[in-house]
Amino acid sequence: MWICTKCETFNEETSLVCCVCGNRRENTDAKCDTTVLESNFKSSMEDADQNSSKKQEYARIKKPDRETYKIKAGQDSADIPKELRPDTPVVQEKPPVEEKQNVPEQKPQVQNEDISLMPEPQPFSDKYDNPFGHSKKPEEIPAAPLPAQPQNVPAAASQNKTNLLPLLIVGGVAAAVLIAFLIIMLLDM
Amino acid sequence: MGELSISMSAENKDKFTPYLIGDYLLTQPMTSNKSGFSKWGFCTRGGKEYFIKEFLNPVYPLESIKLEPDVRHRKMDQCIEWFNQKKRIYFSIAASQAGNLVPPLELFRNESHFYLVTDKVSETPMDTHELSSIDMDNKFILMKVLANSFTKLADNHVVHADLKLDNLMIKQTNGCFFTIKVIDFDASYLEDSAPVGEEIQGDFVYLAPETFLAMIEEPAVLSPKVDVFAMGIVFHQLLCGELPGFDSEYDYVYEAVLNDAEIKISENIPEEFRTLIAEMLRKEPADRYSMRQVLSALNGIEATKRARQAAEAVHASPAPRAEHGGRWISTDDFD
Ligand SMILES: Nc1ncnc2c1ncn2[C@@H]1O[C@H](COP(=O)(O)OP(=O)(O)OP(=O)(O)O)[C@@H](O)[C@H]1O
Ligand SMILES: [Zn+2]
Repeated sequence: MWICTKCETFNEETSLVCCVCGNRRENTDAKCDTTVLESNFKSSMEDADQNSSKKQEYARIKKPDRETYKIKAGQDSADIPKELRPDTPVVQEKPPVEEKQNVPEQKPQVQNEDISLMPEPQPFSDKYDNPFGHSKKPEEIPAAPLPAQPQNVPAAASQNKTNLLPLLIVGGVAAAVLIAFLIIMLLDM
Repeated sequence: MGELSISMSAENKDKFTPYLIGDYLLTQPMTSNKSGFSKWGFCTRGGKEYFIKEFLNPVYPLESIKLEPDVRHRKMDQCIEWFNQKKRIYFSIAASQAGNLVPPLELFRNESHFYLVTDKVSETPMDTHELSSIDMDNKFILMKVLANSFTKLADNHVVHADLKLDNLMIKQTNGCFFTIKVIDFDASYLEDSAPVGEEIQGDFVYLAPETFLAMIEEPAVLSPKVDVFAMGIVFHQLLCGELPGFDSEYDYVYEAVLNDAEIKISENIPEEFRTLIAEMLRKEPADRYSMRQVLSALNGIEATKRARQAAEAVHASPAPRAEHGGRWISTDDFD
């Protein structure tokens, strides 16, 4: 088969002019193999998020350099796995954690969906608090370390969440000691 | 309110960072389409640009989501049925490619959603204003391109079911010649598994009478003749820039046709095309031309014109015959 440069119709090898527009065949006309047309279409019900070859490729990188992930215009090599990206869509458009906890359904991907197909909010909120977007088993998490905390991520919010507990414990113990000390002082008086 | 939403969307655009959906990098935020059944956008893979569509339904029940076992099974079954049906029709569309379809390339799931990827066409949908600037020779080729592409679809029992100017992207090829790329197979079905009642999608302006009957669950057989009817309307628009005329008591062509009211095909359209359009707009699918008959009718019109031109050339002077692909059909010929 050859492709007509004028109307882009596929034509039989044996024809010298295009069957649609009558344009004469040139030696430079592109060829195509129509016997494989059907196989041009691919389909899969497996989760592409888990199977993404790009993600696996990036997961193999030992020390991801922040620069590697900068998207240069029109450059596909900058395709970044969601986990390794500074601004995943999940994190990206989400309100800060404090607000979000009250509105767990505010994930952009699930807007406008048929409500009947929406999962209960609780599991969703668990899921979307996880920066990996899944409740993955530890071995499923890519070995590569995460890149430095990006600027646009609500960093303060996520760090607050993790650093608050030790602070609270230390503060609580200090307060208890102080109160005990005061009581002893008062009793002594 | 208007201003607010404009500034918000501009802000969102600035903030957007490309992200991966499977192996495709989404390069712009997705937009909801008119029907609200999906969202669409553009993505890249291997340095090539693609069009990507996210289906809002069905939603895949992920393991991480707590669901009653029977609910999970029901959702899973819905997904499997939907997926297999889409897979079958997309496979047939891909097999029907004759050069001017924009067929599905990949149907896949990413987390809870299904996605469809096709080649990106940089062209714009046809509009009547743009059409008026295309000459008659080229319009005739556009009609043949359409008839040829849809004959391949009909041979594979595929009904596009949403043929309209909006779904015909106009593409400039070599020189100032235009061709057509057919998009949007969302409403498409295979003849043996035509939708019924509320499952039916389509545009009322181009709706075939039998599609309306099927919508209201009256007896009707849906076949590629549905596309022939829509193409009759497209040809009318292509040739004179307007829809066919009908009594003002009707809103759409199919309504007038169902009531046996007169359909006025524009006087500005050359006679042979008016006859063809009338054959394409017949009420009964059995009486209506098939896609293949439309294509042969166009070939017939072309052959007649050529013969007439050749005869005229012999009578006039011993001037050399026009080259292939030259100007052999013109608006003047039809005056
Ligand atoms: N392959 C493609 N390349 C570039 N643009 C495309 C492609 N396919 C569709 N588009 C454009 O994307 C938009 C959405 O397309 P689509 O036909 O899916 O939705 P729609 O027409 O809004 O919805 P509906 O299916 O309800 O008619 C349209 O403006 C269309 O012109
Ligand atoms: Zn051609």
